[in-house]
Amino acid sequence: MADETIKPFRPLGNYDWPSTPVNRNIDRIKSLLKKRLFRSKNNGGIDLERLQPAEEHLLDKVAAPPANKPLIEELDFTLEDWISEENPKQPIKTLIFPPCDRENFLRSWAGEKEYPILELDDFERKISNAPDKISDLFDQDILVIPRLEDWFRRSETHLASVRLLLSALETPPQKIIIGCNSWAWQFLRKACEIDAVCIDPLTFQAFDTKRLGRWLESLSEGITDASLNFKSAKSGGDAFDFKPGSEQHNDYMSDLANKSLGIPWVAWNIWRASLQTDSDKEPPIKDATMSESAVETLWITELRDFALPNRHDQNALLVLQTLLIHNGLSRADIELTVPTSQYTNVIPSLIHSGMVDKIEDIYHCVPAAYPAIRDGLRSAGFPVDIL
Amino acid sequence: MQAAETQQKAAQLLNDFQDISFLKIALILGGSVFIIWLIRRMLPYLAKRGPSQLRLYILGAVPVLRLTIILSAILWIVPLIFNITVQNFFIIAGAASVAIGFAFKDYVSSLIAGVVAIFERPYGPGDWVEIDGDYGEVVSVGIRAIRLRTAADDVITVAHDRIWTNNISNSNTGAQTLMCVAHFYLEPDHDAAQMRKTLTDVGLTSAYLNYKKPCFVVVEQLEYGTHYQLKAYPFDLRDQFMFISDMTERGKVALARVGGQELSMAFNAAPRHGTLAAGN
Repeated sequence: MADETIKPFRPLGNYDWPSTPVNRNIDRIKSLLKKRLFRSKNNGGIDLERLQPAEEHLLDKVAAPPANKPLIEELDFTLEDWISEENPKQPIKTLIFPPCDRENFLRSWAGEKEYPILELDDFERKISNAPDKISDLFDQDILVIPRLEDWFRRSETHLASVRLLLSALETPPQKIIIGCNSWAWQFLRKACEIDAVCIDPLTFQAFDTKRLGRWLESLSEGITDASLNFKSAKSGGDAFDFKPGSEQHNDYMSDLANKSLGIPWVAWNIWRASLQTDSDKEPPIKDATMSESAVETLWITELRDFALPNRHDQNALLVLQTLLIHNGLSRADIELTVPTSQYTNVIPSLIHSGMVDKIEDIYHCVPAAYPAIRDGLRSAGFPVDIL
Repeated sequence: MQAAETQQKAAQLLNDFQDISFLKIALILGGSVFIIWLIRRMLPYLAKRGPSQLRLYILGAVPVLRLTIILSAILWIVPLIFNITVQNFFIIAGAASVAIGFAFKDYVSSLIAGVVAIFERPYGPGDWVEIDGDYGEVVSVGIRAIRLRTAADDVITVAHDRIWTNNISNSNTGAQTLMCVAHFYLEPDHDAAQMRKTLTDVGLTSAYLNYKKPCFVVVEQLEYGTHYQLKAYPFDLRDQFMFISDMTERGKVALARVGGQELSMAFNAAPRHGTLAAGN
């Protein structure tokens, strides 16, 4: 490999989870105890009451979207040989991504490469016009289906399109790249045996401390009008500080890698939510390394702990599960796919808890809350995704 | 003369009163009772709040730990009171046998059955069992009896000695899930393949479905119609009634949509454990 920082996608099931649910629970308890027992200690940090969330324009400078930038290069590298091959053994490449990808990574990647995208509406229209000529759909060199989870609903009447697509994919004349969310993939394996058609799915490698630190640091490198410091609000330490000789970032980056499960868009959202500015606009720490030029210090607050949903909130868990499978649903679709939601007011309570948000009448799980939601569903016995 | 002999025998059987540490015995008894009480409170609490995968293991540890503590306490206390020799052992065993034979036969039978049940495991805490027509979740396994909580939220106490004479039907045997069946009775004139496919999709799209277990439909032709059984597993056995209700509710709608016509009378046999027949 030319650049060792580029990590190619790997077969599904080989994801190196940065932490286990047990470790995360222990960390959660430790952090809670620390907060209770050592509330007054603030070793060199800043008074949290002086902090306010960084403004959007500043965030867009220091942590600019997209939340998946490193994956673009990695996917290019992964598919390089396959794309250049004339008649590959496997004409279908299946890419599995964790949920909460708000920016639709595969769609933007395909757009950048100018690959045609097969939408559900196009597919249904063409199929209804010429049901016997299903293979005509695939007359382009490479076709991309970015989000297979948009093609179905978990309902007995809404699986037909996926099944039709899978039957068409039995002998695809050209190369096809299919993206699917990891929760939807597990469901489709059961309901449609998708893994019999889309074999050997791939997923990206988990973002560990080092890789995450390098990426987040690079997001602010282009800023020229001011020097930027990222300091821990608690300790005053530099978030991107490498310990000499160890290449190990400080505790914050390690915590971020653990809590985000190594998923870039989850980490990116948590990172942005953690950045705060000093409302007094005074440099809070005497820092010998600070130059005369304009220095902006961004304070990093501790990561927010979401309350784990448990079995007592069964309706909430059912709604969260369906939102993960479908990446987002309207209220009508939630009622279609969850047996009891129409009897309860669970959706407002989920929004209130910060786990779900609503954008243009579509409810989504909040990316920063995804690790807590996944842990909660797993603990309650729900079938979870495999990466 | 005879009285003196009896007194001597008793003196041999029991340790000297001065040597018996009643405080120690009281502490052992008190400690055992306290530890058992703690286990019976703490473990179900942890099982309820901990990961679902560990629930049945945690609950299953309660009777085993209790038996271990009771046996340990007995083995600790007996030498403190009795002068244990082979001769004395037979005297104590003989006396106990007479007492048990006349007064506590059934009680002791249940106690022994309780010990056997711990090792043979016809049921355990958290299992769903049917004993003598009573179907429910084993909420506790006591020394003498178990307690079942039925779907109607009744608590039924069943003595362990039922395992000597009755069949015990255990739906999950320590597993996290159990098979659930939704029944549908249709007029015979229809496309059975279409109905099976539709019902399978109903099962596959249930929010409660366990992906690791099979989901299938069994069709049976009866004199009065066609009987469909949609069989699938929920991911948590505590959801079994919600799961069956969900499959039944959506199954009825789905069958009607594809032209199935349900029979107006329920000819189903008596409901079996783990099942709720549509129309029961």
